[in-house]
This record gives sequence, structure tokens and C-alpha cells, in this order.
Amino acid sequence: MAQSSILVVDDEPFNFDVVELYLRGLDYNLHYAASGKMALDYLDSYQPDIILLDVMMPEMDGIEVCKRIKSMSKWQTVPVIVVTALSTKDDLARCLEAGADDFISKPVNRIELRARINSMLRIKRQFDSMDNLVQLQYSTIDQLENALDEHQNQL
Amino acid sequence: MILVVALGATFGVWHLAREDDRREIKTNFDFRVDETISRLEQRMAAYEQVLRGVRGLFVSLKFAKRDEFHAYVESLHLEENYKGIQGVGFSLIVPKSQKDRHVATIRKDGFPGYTLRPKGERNPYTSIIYLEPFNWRNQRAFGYDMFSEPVRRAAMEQARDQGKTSMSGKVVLVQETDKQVQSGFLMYLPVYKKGSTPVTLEERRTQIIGWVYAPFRMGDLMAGVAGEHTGELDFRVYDGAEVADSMQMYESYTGGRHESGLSYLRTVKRLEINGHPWTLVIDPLPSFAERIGGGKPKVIGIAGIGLSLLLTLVTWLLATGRKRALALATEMNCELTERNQQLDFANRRLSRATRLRDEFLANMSHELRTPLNAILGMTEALQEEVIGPIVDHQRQALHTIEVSGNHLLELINDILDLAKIEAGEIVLDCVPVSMQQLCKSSLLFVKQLAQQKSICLEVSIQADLPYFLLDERRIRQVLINLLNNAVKFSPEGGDVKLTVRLDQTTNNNGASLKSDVLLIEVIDQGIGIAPEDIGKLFQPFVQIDGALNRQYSGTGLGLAMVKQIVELNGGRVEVCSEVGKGSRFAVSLPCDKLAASTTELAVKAQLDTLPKLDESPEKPHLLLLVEDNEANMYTFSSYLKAKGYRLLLARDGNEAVKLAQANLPSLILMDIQLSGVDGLAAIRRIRSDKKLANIPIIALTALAMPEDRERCLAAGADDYLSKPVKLSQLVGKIQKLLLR
Repeated sequence: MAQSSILVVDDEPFNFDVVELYLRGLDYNLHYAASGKMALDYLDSYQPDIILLDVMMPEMDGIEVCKRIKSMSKWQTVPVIVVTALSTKDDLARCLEAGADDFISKPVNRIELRARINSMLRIKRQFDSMDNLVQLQYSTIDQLENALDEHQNQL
Repeated sequence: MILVVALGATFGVWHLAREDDRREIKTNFDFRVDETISRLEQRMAAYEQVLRGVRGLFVSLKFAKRDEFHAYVESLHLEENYKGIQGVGFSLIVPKSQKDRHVATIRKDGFPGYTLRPKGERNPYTSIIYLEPFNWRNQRAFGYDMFSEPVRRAAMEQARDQGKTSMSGKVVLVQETDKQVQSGFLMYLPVYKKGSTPVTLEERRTQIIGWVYAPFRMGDLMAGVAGEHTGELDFRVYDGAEVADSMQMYESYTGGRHESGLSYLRTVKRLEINGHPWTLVIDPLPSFAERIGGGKPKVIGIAGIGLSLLLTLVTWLLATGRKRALALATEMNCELTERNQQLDFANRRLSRATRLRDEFLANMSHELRTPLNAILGMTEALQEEVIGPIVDHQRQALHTIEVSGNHLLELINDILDLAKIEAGEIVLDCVPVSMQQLCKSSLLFVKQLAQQKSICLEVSIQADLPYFLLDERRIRQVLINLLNNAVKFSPEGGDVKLTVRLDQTTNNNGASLKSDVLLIEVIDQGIGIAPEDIGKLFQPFVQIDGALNRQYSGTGLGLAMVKQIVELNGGRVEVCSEVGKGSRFAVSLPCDKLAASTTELAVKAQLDTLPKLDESPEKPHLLLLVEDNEANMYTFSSYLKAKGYRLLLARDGNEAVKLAQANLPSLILMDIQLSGVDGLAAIRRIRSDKKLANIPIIALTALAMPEDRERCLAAGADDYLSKPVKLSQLVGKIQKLLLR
């Protein structure tokens, strides 16, 4: 299986350092974007399998970034884990309403980070394989339809 | 008359409320019953999943060995995840002809006392060969032939014939001792030779090798099912579709007879779990009735009667006239005096509480600083390699600890200062101060931040200023806070101006009385403040932009402290600001605080020449990044920019050489695998250009071969990193090379 790619979006590069440190020795491809705009503009280049998104960022906050990611059909299935220092139920609810798939609270705990990333990747893989299956079914249907057309023409 | 009408109405409302109440109790009770049953069903489904998992183990390993079985079941953490399950075991079919060989094998396995129980001739035998966790209770079942007992046998045969999970009727488990005997049951899942379930009944009977099974003690199982309101419902479980005492497996309530007055709620439910019927009878207990029930009509009845009486009383009072009113007024007067006394007392307590709060804050900040000092100290020691050698990425981690620790320390210091001022603990320590010196040392603190944002700091200080009597440390704090804010809220490349001069201000008493003040102004062209927000500026812990969109870091303590300190010095802070245009903060300190004998001090005064701070600040290092993978390019450039470097980007070797010649970067990061002119060739070309020969180059490559390193270094790179690159490590190398 190909290396999974994780995009970390955080205006503070120290936080990326922490993620890098925590995930050391694991076979992930880590990418970094220092702002929400940067992340959104270059999603096609980053090709993330999973996105770790900071909430408190200048210009565009994480909630907005999350909403925008989830409104792009190409990226809406990529799991977004929101990293937040906010912990009231309201804040968490807002993250979820914006489409976040999971959240981790700051300060990030290494075991939790690894586990959550694992679980989100698992979901992503399941989704991907389902998607493949659907595509396969579609192409089978196409083939069958073509065959049917041919037979009808021959008749 | 009034009384009669009112009581009549009360009765009507009471009657309605009682109906309403009964409905509510019924809904509540039904909800609890459904909740409990669905929890029971969910649990049973979960247990079945466990058995399927174990069967999967048998299928995938052909036949699980004892240690494999043990390891698998242990990994399930039955006790935490599957409460109520006594264990998971495997019962093997042993044909009569193989009995002796079987017993010998197990005995050789480390169980010399192993026999098939109960004794006697049967065909076939079955034997519980595995049962995990293998504790004393479960060891009682080791070697037990469940086929020899009709209830168990029926369920085992059902599972075998149908190829599905089955459940036994009520039994007493072999694990039970004499004490606290509970009813139990067992769940079976057949395991066949080839793994999958054979199609015909005949094949199923011949190909079965045994059963994965789990024993349950009813009491343990049900203990968790009742949920948070255990003890409010009496829950009875009967084996089979009928309610018969002999078939009762469980009763949650053990206190004998009960009468809740809600017997009409009794509910009988029939469940089928894994093809086996159970009957549940649920009654409310008196505690349920107390928590949920019956309150409302009673309250309405009592309140209604009370109200009726009151109504009558009021009518009577009105009739008896103002004599009572006068008496009442006197009484109220007394009460008022009493209230006033109470208020006074409360006020005193409040001020005491405020003082205590401030003391607490101050103490706490001290206590917080102590461990932090250890953290910072140890970090520094580690960084200096006092304790032992460290490698680059450890250094990076230590740096992060240090920066975060320092930030925390700043916050704590701010809190401490503010608390001290509010607690009135600060005593001004006034000494003659040269404003030139003071400004210079304050500017040092913000210089770095200003450089990062290419902000020009302009300073103008009136030339002939005398020394002033000021608390130097605190006024510096004021200056640093104001300058820091100005820089923080300015856009890249903006201007921040600091001016210090003597000014005259009109006294409050009238236009004729003018007095000298020292006026310090900090002016920026930053984001500005809306008029409605200006009032909030100086309140502690308030930041103008909301919590989420926090573009600017800080505690929100800075300006609160500025105001406190300036006022403590007898001065004033003023703000003028316009959104989008910038802000001007003016601090005026009164002249009677100034040094009295300016002439005397002026002799000592050496006119400090300020360093030319207003020349354009030193620019951050320019790096050239050569990388053709877009994801990596964005990751690197994003990270390095966030770390304060400027970046040039090139996608191939040719472009890299051209950009290097045109811009003379401080350092080059070169990906080796480039299309077109590859990285090594580009490095050689850069090295052959005299102007560029000394620019440090770090080569990046995805081929982590030892000879790669040699090839890169031979081509002229100064250092080498293999992908995936650790960004913190990269920055470490960049810093090292730039310092060289």
C-alpha cells in the first residue's frame, strides 16, 4: 500500500514540529501548510489522505477551512481532524457542524494523535475501497449495457 | 363563597394533572424498559461477535494452539470490554475411540491431572480443552464434557445442525461453587473442519470438530444492563416463553415484596436471542415511583388549597383597612434598616474577598514560576550539553520546550504584575532616568519582531531632555508593551514611530493653569481600533478580536498593565485610533514627578547617541529552494516562511542557476532528482561560478543510498538530507550553515 499522506495546517510551525516528532518512525508522508488559504489552494498538490487542521489561525480560521474543504466534492471524503485548544461543547459542536470528522485537543497527546490518525485512515481506506467497488460496478453496468445494445443491433 | 369557588377550581385542575401525570409516568417507565432491553440485546450481539472472532482464529490457523488461543482472548480484554462474559472457551469433540490418545496428549501438554468429566462411557465425548481467562473459577470446567448434560447438549446440537450461534436454557455453571450460586447459560458457535458451514445437515454432523463457547453468569451479566437507575426497576428474566418460577434465571430486586402503587405499569416482554426465547417481567419499584411519580397533582392540590385560603385572607385584609397597613409600614421600615446593615456587611466581605483573590493570584503565580524555572533551567542545561551529548533533532525539541516555556513564563509574569498592582503591593522605585537610554533599551525588545516583519522603527526624542524621576523598570514595561502592540498590529513593511517630548497640558481646573508633562507617543499604521472598542482596551483579559479568529497572540494583559502603571505614576494614557489607518497611544507623565534639579543632573548627562534604528532593518535570510514536487515545495516553503525566512523557488536546475546568479541567496536547498538539468549538475554549475561558490548548499534526495551522500558532497554540497526530510532537522542544518 502506498504511503499515506498527512497535511498539517497550522500557522505555528512549532506545532508541526511536534506532530513530526510524535509520528516519527511511522510510514507517513507529512506535508505542511502555514495557512488555510495555502492549504485550500494547493490541495491538488498535497493530495492528502488526512488533514490535521488547527482552529485558531489568522485570516481564515479552521472552521471556515473545514467547511470549504467539505464543500469540494473531490476532497469531502478526506477525513479532517481538528486540533483545538477550545474544549467547550459548543466549540466541539461547531467543529463537527463544519464537517470535521474528529478532533484532538491541545496540548496534543502522542498516543491519542497516533490512534486518531490510524482510525481516520482506516475509515478513509474503507471509503476508498467502497468507492472502487462502486466504480467497478458502474463499469460492469456500462459493459453490460454495451453488450445488450450490440445484441439488440444484431437482432 | 370565594373559598368554595376556589376549592372547586383546585379540584378540577388536580384531577387533570393526575391524568397527565399518569401518562408521563407511563412514558417514562416504557422508555426505561425499552432502553434496558435494547442494551441487553446490544450486549448479546457483542458477545456473539466475540465468538465469531474466536471462530475466525480457528479458521485462519486451521486449529488454534493453546498459546494462540490464550493470546487472542487476552487481547480482547474481556473484563473491560465485554462485562458479564465469564470466559471464552473451546469444546472439542472426542470420539470414543480416540479418548485415551486425547487424554494422553493433553496430559503431556502440562496438565498431568487431566481427565474427561463426568466419568462413564459415552460416544462421542466432548471436552473443554481451552477456557480463557484460565483462572481458578474457569479451571473448574477444564475437561468437562458438556455433551453429557441434556440442556447444554440441546443447544450444542442446535448450533451444529443450524450452523448458527445458539444459546442454552437455564443451567448452573460448572464454575459455580457452593457460595452465591447464580443461574447461568451458555452461548455456542460451531466450528467445522473446512472453516465454512457445510450445506447439508449430514455434512454438518460429520464435519463438526467442536464449539467455540462462552459461559455467562446471569447476575454478572445483568448487573451492568440496568443502567444508571439500577434499583428503580424490578427486572426478572425467565428462560423460555412462559413465566414460571422454576424457570426464573434472574431477579434484579432482592428485597422481597414491594408495593409501589404503580402495579398497573407491569410489563411482560418476550425476546428471542440467538434463537432462544427469554421472557422479561419488569415492575417499577417504590424508588421509581418516588423519583418520577405522583408529585404534580399533590403539589397542585396543596398549592390550590393554599391559594384559596390566601385569596380569602386577602379579601379579609382589604376589609379590615389601613390600621394594618400602618403597622406593616413600621415593620417594613425596621426590615429596611436591617437590610442596610446586611448590605454593609456584604460589602465588607466583598472587599475582603477581592483582596484575598489578589493575594491568591500573586501567590499562585509565584508557585507556578518555581517549577517553570526548573523546566527552563534543565532545558538550557540539556541544550548546553551539560548533562550529555545530544543530537540535532533533540536540540530542536529542546528549543521548542524553551520557547514555549518562556512564553508561559511571560504570561505568568504579566498575571503576577497585574495582581500586584491591583493588590496595591507595588511601591514605585523612582530613580533619575535618561529617556534616551530608556527608549534604547525598550526598542531592543521589539527589534527582532520588527525585523521579521520588515517594519521600520522611527525614533525621535527631544534633544535637551533632562533626567526624570521615574520607576525605570515599570516605565520600560509600558514602552515595551506599547511598542510590541504597535509592531504586532502593523502590516508587513509598515512604520512605527516613537516620540518623546515635553508638552504642556491644560489642567482640569481651568485653561489658565498649564503644567509641563512628559509626553511619550507610539504611533503605528496598523489595523486600528473601532471607537466602540476603545473602552474595552484597558480591561484585563480582553482582546478586541474574538476568540476564534485570533490573528494576534497575547494574554490581553498588556494594556491593562500599561494603564495601571501609568496611573500609579500619576499619569494618563490616551488613544486615538481609526480602523484601517492606525493608532496613536499617548502617555503623559506629570512634571512634578520629574527630576527637580535638572541642571545638576544635566551635568552628569552624557548625550547618548542612539544607534541608527531608523535605517531599514536587517532583512531575513533569503533561501533558494529547488524542488519539482509541488507538495514538497509547498510544504517546505510554507514551513520556512513561517520560520521567518524569505524564499525563492525554482523547479529545475537551469532556473536554479539563473535565480542564484540574479539574487545571491544566503543558502540553497537543492533536490537532486530534478527533470532536465539534474541537481548534481546544477550544484556543479553553481560551484563553478565565482560569485556563488561560497553559498552553502543542502542537497535533498529520496534515494537513501550511502553513495548518494558522497556524490552530493563531491559535487559541492555542504550537507545532505534524505527524504522524507524532517523539517525541524532541516531548519537546524540551515541555521548551522548560516552561522558559519
